[in-house]
Amino acid sequence: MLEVRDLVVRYRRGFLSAPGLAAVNSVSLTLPLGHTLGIVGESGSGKSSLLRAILRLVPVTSGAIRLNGQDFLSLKGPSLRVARHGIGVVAQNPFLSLSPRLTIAEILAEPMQAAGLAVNHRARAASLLAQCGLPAEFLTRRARELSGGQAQRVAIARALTLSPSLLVLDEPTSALDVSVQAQILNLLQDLKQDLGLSMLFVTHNLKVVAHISDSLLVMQRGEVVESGPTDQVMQAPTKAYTQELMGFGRHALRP
Amino acid sequence: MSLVKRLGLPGTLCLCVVVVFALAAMLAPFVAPYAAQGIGTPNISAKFQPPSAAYWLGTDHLGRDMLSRVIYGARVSMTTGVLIVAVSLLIGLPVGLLAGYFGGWADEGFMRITDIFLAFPALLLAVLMAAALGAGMLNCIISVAVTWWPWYARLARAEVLVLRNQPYVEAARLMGVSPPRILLRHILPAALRPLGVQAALDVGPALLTASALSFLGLGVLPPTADWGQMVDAGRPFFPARWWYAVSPGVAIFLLALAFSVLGDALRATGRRDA
Amino acid sequence: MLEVRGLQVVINSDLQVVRKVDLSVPKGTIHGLIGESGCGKTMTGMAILGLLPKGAGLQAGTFTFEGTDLLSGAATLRGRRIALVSQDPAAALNPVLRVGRQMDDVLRTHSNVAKPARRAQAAALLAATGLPDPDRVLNAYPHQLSGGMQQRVVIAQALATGADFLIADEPTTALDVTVGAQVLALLRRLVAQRGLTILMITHDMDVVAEVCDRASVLYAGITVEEGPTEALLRAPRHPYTKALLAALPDARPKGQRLAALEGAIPPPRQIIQGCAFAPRCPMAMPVCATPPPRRTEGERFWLCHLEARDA
Repeated sequence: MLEVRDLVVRYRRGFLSAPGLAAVNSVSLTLPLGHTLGIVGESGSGKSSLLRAILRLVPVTSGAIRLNGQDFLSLKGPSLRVARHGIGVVAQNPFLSLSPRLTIAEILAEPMQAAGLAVNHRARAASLLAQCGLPAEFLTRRARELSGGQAQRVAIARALTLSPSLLVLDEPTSALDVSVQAQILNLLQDLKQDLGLSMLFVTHNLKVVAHISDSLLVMQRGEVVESGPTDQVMQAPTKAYTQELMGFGRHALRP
Repeated sequence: MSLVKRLGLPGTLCLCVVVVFALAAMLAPFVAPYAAQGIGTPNISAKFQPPSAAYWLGTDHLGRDMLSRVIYGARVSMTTGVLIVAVSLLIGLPVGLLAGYFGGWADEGFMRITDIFLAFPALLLAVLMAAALGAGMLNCIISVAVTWWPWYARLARAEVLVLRNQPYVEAARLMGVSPPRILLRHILPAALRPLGVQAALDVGPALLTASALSFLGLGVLPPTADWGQMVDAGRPFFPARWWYAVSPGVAIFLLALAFSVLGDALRATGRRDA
Repeated sequence: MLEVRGLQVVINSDLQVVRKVDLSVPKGTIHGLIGESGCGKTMTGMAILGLLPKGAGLQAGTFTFEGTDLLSGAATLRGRRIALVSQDPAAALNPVLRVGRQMDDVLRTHSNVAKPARRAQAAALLAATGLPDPDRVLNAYPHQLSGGMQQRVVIAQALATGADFLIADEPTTALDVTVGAQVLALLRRLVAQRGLTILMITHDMDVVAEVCDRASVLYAGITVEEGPTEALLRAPRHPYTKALLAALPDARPKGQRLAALEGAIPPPRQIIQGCAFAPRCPMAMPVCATPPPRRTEGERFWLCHLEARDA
């Protein structure tokens, strides 16, 4: 459903200066329907640039992106806005990505209004919250009255409002405690099963993404250094870098 | 939370000063001891009386009660001060919002225009404008507002540049929310607070500038009471009949100071909340 | 080296940020202080450093550092025996001063050698933290260094104070995984070579497994379990420790649901009568409404009503 071919993103330093180094250098990936692809990398690996390019938040230098068979890069203005309804996005920090001024009901109604959805906004918002494990009382609250885990559930509910086929997750658990992270990962697992969502999961934490992804893509300095089915990459990484990313710690203790 | 705790003691005192002046201005016909003289009716028999029990702040060269004149002057000064800021905001805010959000040529165009305005000394430009338009309260407001709005355009643009990259604004864009809606629902409410603080800070300088124009004879005309024009009228009699120039002068000083301190206090509460 | 019994920190006389922390850190070891946000681990570190916020009340049965009572004299040890390595090295360094100047500021207050000698000392300390070209680093501004290099400079600064006890508050959280691993290896080496003692404040079980000799688990400002790292991670005794380990994404095979812990920690205002974890505990019993007994086994202890064999 999502296909990226030879994507290159170069940032210009100034208006007239020559383009700089490629933040994303000729990356290709395929995400079939219902699959979860994990994109792993450290800071400066280009994973965020790749993600932002796929969401059309930064200009693409060259390459192609096809979403559900549609040439996503050629879309402009209103048709881009409509195409974006098919993608739900969850960012790292829910307290920054949810407007501090609006109630949860207003936050969840916003995409429905934008898309001109002819449903009872409040009822739909309540059912979305329920799907994400929150009671309807939360509709009248504001984001800052919630805990980190609850706020992230709201962000996920918002991403699901327009029934997208693709969910893009940008470090969705990195700002959360371990026990809350487990709740969110479980929720994503459930949603994937119930809704048949495709997911693009970007993170620096290989262990988190390995738990939830069908396949992995490891990035370093703008390039893909390793990719394949999760089990294969985790059990027999071909690159020392991937091995290093798996990190240190408890696996040495395992019986 | 109590008001004193939020604004601090100086802020609260200045809020009181502003409220007292505002009430006096609104209720001028009822609180002024000689309402008719406040509007301008002469009372020659009592001219140049020093402050006394009958005339708390003395009388002017036409025998009018200074206290009543100052109270009526508050009407004019506060209205001009507030209107100058309001008109400037009305022009500057949309310009800044659009320039900041859309960037590119809109930004370049609008900002070069503000540069042209900002390149002139503000008071000089206001004086030139007022001289060209002629005296009168409305012209005075327009003249000052013309020199004032680019500051708000600048400030609004700077706020928008920060806000439009906030994750929650980006999230709205990704959900396909249209630009006008993003501007009105997400960016404007967040930008209003710092702009509001700046506006409160600016009422003082605005009424000072308007008073300066009146002092130069380019603003409000007699017999309407205006502080700047009253200071000018009292100047030839200073220091012998000091109360004539000093009473409106002190009023200008008090109100301008009160607005500045109040604005500062508001800014501090904004920081504490954030 | 550090002995803490029943440490309690109350802010504005009603926020119990630390309720009952017990800690015992022998010389030359790394001790992990594990907990989720709001469990009081950073406040415990601040109490040891004598850097508690205004309005904080401090109480303890025992609170000593090599015989010095920290209840009265914590501030005098800070910067001489005890130093802090914080989470964000970029914030710990002054952005407008060269590294050399910042190292020298520390050395000057702690020794009375001449400036050229101090420069050599600074270079030697930077080299000891594994920075390849100390002279170049001394002339650099912090922003010219990578995050990992900045953290090494912060560690070198801590060593420059002459401190032999470091409080490392999430020292690798702001760093990339691969860089974090190198910093942890450096800390381990410093302990072996210089006889340093480290209190490692972290939420990351992997950090604990990697470098800590012993660790304590904090919940709601209470030490609920303490013991040697390996025993603690392999065979946790307290239900909270178990829950934390089970919630890790690699605790279960791919795709299986993780054992998420529902509920939230009790707020600092709440007065806790019995076991703090009981409301969320899968094994809670009626008796958990009373204070849990302290159970010991070899070098470890935990607070729970359950017998070791049931747990």
